[in-house]
Amino acid sequence: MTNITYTNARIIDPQNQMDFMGGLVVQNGHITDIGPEIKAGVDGNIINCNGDILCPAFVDLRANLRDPASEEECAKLQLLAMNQGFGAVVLTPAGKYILDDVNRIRAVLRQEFAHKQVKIHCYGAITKGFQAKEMTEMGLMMRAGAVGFTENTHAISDSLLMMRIMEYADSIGALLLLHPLDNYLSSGDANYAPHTIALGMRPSYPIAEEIAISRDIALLKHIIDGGLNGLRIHFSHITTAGAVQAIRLAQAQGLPITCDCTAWHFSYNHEKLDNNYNTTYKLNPPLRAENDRLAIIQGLQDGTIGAIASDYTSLRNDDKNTTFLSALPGGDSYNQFWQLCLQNSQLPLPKLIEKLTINPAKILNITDEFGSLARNMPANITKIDQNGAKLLHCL
Amino acid sequence: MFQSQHILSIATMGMGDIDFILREAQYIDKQPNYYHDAMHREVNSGKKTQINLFIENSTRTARSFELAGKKLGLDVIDLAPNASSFSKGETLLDTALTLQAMNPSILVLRHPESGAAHFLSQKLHDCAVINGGDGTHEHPSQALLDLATIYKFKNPDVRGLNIAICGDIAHSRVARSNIELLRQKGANLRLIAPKTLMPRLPNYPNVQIFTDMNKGLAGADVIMMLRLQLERMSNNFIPSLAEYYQYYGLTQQRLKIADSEVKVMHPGPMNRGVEIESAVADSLENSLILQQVEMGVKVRMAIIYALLSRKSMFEYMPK
Repeated sequence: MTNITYTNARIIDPQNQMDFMGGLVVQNGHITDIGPEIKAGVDGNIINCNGDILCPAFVDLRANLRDPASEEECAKLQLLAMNQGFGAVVLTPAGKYILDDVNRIRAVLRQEFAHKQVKIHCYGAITKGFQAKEMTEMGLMMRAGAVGFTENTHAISDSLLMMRIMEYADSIGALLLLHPLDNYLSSGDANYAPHTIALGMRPSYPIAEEIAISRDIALLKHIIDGGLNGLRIHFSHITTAGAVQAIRLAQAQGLPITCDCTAWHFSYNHEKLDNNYNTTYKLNPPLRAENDRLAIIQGLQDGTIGAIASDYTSLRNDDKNTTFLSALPGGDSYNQFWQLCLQNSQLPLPKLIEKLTINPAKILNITDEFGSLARNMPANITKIDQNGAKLLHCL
Repeated sequence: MFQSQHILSIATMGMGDIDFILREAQYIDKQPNYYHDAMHREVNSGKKTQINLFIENSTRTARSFELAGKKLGLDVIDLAPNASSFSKGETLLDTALTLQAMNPSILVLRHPESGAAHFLSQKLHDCAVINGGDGTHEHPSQALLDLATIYKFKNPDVRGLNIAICGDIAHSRVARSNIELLRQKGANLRLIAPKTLMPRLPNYPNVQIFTDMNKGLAGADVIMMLRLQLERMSNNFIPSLAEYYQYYGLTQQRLKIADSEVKVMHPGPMNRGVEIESAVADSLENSLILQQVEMGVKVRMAIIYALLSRKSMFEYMPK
């Protein structure tokens, strides 16, 4: 393996509180030296970064493929993710086959991936077939490589089942990624508001999120009363002011809860929905009101929301080129991801990088590979041009 | 000069165009035959095609548009959903491309999804799309014909008129269009429904919300009843049809609460004994329900005429 020395770079590593001009040395795929003094390596290639930024590769908590076991789809995803600086992407267990048993997890993880720069992880389903009836073999799937468990965009309405799932996940130390929306209150396609009602869109009530989160927090407290083992609860793509506040209070009580948001939800509000019925803005959860958008930004700033996920969804053109009601939610969120984060998150660059690197790596428990630029870490590095404006790629 | 390229919703139509249609409808009411000849002369209507595409069941709106097109001399084609491929899994985009190939001048669309008419209007070229009802969004021609009916049979100005709209407002595209139109025209609107059937509305100064029908009807000049979709019961919007009739049915007794010269309207089809008592529906004194159907054809003629000719016929009319 070749050795590469990067010089004249701005090194940003929030985990190790590094933000300085300097360089780093990569040998055999690992970082062997890093610091302000590094100028030119002893041997191998020298790359002068001309003041560009080097930071840990981004970690994406969630991407949705039509078929996670398809090499073609994974290759396309890897390329898109790489161009937005991601070095690791976790696939949701939905699509053609629900990843609800060990063999399906293996089928995804044992593929020949086209691009080595982007590592593919996956979650397993919490219940068989997302039916919210029977628990899956979470322990076996975890041993096969699943980094956590999620019902994707389904919520588990049965509170007794949810309690059992949390108790069991606590026993084996699993991460549960929950889609916090009450099923019944969130069956529509647009946020409940006078103007979306006037457009004839089916309502999705914002309180659905707070209700689901409040229940799960209550269940978690109940379980912790009997002692906590290794359970971690992560709420995916939260979107409402009420949800941010509920999580903020729970975190202040020391509960093991994290959450993320998407770039869409702090960039846009439901005013994007108008007489054009633009299906690009059909999302799940839907775009919310302006006070919700501001609450998400506040949550990012005070640390309540630890991570930003792409929620990339691979769709066919036909899935969006139709009426608003028939269109599928989500889309190619990698397209503008970095630009939206930069322009709308209102976070200083190191803070933004933290929410894309070490924080999601900690949530997924993959900090031995991702999230920092410390010595002996694998060289998963992203390069950003010095103004921060253009994301160059994942190295 | 008529501005709109399509008739998609009251909310997106300018007041100038709304008044244009209402005015032409009044002239058509007086001189129906003149418009047929004028259309031939002005836009060669014999060579124009009107396609009615009703993906949802409809009798009166479909026939009303068919009659309107024929009275203006257009070739009217009905694409019934059951007899066509549109019900066999073809996407709305394919439907649009197929229709484009037929080169129609007018397309009337009824569709169960809100925004479907907007979608087609973005895909079709040189064709005016008329929204004949899309999901729970709007039904603009119904609101226009309702207002034309009020103008003719009640009062030529609705400013200050007390108009009650009663029933399943949450799911009614007729109510959406009527609220928007009558609100803009300055009527005092009273919306009456149980909270389960009442959507959240912006705070309009001249719109009041009532859950008690007796309070909402007090002094009303016009009562617009809405059809209750019978499947609402199974979704727990109301406990039973019998109870609904007790609380929100328009009976002769309730009619006495309203103004003594109150007029009753209903877009049809009615559920007699559910939202309206037969004696009220058939009252020669109060009911305008059949007059609505009659004005419907004239307003739809005015809409088609306005979209194709774009200029008022009034100045050319024989006095």
